[in-house]
Amino acid sequence: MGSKTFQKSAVKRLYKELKSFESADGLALVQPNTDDLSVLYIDIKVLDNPKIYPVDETYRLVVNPSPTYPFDAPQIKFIKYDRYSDTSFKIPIHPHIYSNGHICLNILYDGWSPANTLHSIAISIQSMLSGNTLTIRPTDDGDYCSRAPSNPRLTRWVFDDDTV
Amino acid sequence: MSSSSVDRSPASTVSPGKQPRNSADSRNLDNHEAEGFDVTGDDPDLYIDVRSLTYTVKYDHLVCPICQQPFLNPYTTICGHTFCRACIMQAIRSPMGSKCPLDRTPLFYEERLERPQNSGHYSRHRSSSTSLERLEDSSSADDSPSRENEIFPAPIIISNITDDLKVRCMNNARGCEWVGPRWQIKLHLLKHCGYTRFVCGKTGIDGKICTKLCERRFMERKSEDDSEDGDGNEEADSDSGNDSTDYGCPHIEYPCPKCEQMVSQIDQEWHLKHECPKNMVVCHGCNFEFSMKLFETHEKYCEKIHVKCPGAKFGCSWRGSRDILKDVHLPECIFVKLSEYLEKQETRMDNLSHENSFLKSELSTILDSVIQGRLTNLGFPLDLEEVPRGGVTDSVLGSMEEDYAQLISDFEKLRLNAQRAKRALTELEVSKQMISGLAADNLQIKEEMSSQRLALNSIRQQLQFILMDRRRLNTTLTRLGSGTNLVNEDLPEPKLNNKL
Repeated sequence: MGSKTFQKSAVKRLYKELKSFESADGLALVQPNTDDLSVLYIDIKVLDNPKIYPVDETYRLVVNPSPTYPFDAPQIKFIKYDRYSDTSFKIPIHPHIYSNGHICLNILYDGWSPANTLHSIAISIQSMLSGNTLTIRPTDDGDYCSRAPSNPRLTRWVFDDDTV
Repeated sequence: MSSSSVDRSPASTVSPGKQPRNSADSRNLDNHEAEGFDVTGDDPDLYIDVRSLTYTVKYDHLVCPICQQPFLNPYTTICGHTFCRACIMQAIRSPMGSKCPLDRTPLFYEERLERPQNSGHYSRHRSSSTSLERLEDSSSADDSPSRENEIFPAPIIISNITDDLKVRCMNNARGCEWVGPRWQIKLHLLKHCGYTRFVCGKTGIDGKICTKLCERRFMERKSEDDSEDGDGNEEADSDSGNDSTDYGCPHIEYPCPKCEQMVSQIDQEWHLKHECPKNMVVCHGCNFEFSMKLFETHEKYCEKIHVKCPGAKFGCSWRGSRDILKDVHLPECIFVKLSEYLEKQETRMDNLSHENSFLKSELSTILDSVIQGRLTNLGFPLDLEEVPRGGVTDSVLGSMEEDYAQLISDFEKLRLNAQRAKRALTELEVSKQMISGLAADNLQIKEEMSSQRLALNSIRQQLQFILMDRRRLNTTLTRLGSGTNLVNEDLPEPKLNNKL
């Protein structure tokens, strides 16, 4: 059982967060494996930026809460393929999202606070997509993707753009 | 580490959301099938994990932003945010560092400046002890010139409110129905709950001390045969080290009195109910014997067992065995015949009452809006109409102002008119009074006049009489031939006086 690695309070909190997604607009939290809280999916739809992101397109984030969650940031990235349900997804195009699904967003790394929730993170990413006007990848996309670790938290991020 | 209170108990399992809520089928054996609270060490305070409690009330506020649970030993930061002590302590040790998790205000905190406090403990007397500690702290603050901590205990009222929230017993999955304020949970678990497990500690059949876990209700049993009295309500000194040999180790297995299978006190109840093939119960309908585990299914199908008529809910008071019901009662029971109709009526009634309550609520909305003067739009304020005219507000406002001024002047005019009319009205009132006074006078005068007229009439008659008299006198005088003016004039006077 994967949830054995979590603290009891973290398990309670994660179940509560699962519930909080029930009323969210365009967001859905999926638990692919019952009883396992160490792998979660968040499905994001962007409802108000149809020029870049079609309204019916769903992007899937994979969330791996660390054993010390919520005191450490969970590992969050977009995925292209979900092996549990055997479905493919697109990585949304954005100047801060690499084509391997890694997201350059400070609250996912050293800007994380234990008061953040999966819901607040999902809303941040959703609004980041909603406010986007550029259909480009980050400038160092090819270079980064060729040497990036699979866990984006192991990357040394430099947050240089405060506008998005 | 302040997180030490979590997961210290080796016997505890996790995932509170997943355990079976219904304890009827969970067999309470030595393996951990149903989660609950176990006393396994010397200091049970250390592993009562209050944060894993289930609350029976809603707690929208008073929730720690980190663990999302009602505050436990709440601490407030200098920026005004409140967290559980354990949460904020762990947060400032996390990679985020000594910042407020909500607004990232840098927070100074050093444990040595913390006033002494039994942080891991959970006691009702925290409020009184805190005030004492506060006194100590103020006295000791003088000797340390360094700065004060920027994370400090929250107002006591907050912990009092959260401590009073109702929680379920941690042994709920094992069958304990207790619900009470959070501050009582320790007392309940350690002293009263029959489902708390302790190290058995009694001498087993092989002469060794038993180290298995055992629920209190089995340890406090008076005798081995007394299997029904298992609630453990009796007050007893039940520390884990209590090795009075009076009751014997509840784990000692003995053959089941019915079927010879080896059972212990702990699983005997379950064994008799669900397993034992020889625990016979006589069906009161057909008088056959069945083992307890088969009886439940038999009860559903026994032809002889007494059941209620299916029309009982409509008022049929018939009771009898199932075959008589089927052969005799059902064809003649008027309630059963009518049941289809009655059920239809019932659903209709339900629908109507639903509709009725809905209409009532609608009506009350409308009445409310009528009272507030918003009669139109069926309860919606009139302002709604004005929303779409955002762009032309200025002109609309201008014309409205003009209308308003016009209305004001009209109103002034009308007011003046009304005042004038009022004045005229008062004048009229006065003249009316005068007229009625005059009319009264008039009447009086009329009466006087008529009396005068009467008097006049009588005077005239007298005058005529006198005249006639005088004429007669005149004639007599002329006849006498010595008529004078003096006589003419003097004579009538005394007569007149006499008449009057």
